[in-house]
Amino acid sequence: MALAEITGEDLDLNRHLAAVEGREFGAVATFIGQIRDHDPEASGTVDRLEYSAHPDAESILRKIVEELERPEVRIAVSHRTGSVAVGEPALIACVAAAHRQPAYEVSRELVERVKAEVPIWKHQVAADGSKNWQGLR
Amino acid sequence: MSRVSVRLFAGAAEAFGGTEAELDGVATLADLSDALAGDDARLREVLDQCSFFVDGEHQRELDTALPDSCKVDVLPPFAGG
Repeated sequence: MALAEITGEDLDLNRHLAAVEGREFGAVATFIGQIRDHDPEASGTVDRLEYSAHPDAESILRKIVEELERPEVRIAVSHRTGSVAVGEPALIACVAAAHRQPAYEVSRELVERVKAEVPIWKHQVAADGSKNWQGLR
Repeated sequence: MSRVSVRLFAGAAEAFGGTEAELDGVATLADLSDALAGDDARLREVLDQCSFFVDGEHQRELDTALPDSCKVDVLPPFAGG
């Protein structure tokens, strides 16, 4: 795989694009999950999210990528931990393939599986300082 | 009956008030939830939404048996992306 990591560092789209470069690829689907300023579970405007991850999160992410990669598909994906401000990326996924259809399809499946299977949690911090764990009633 | 090492994460750790626990005499995940929650209604509500790693295997069913000396991680709903 080109890149698959859980990191406390800022995410860099260009680094992901460079990781999936190849003369055989005619399509690169890029997905950026970024912090928005509103959420029905938050009290008022969202200020930032604080992400935490299980120690095995990166190995689970790598396993998903291994299952999705094929000789003709290359994947670079990263997810943030720590404090991420509104407008900043929390997830970047780049999928390169010969043609657009597999690039789109694998991109979508990758992002859906990351959200469903990787043990990552977000503590949503509202502008008034109140916090809620997203997804926990 | 088993001795179990428990780690709690994110909202489960917050509701429990700690990140680790050692439990004796718990045979299933249902026993483990009972032992952790006691009479704490909010913690029980949180645990009811959690899944678990039992020695690294992802489990959701509360009748999952716990081998002696196993390690259990308590995982609130994942919220990546």
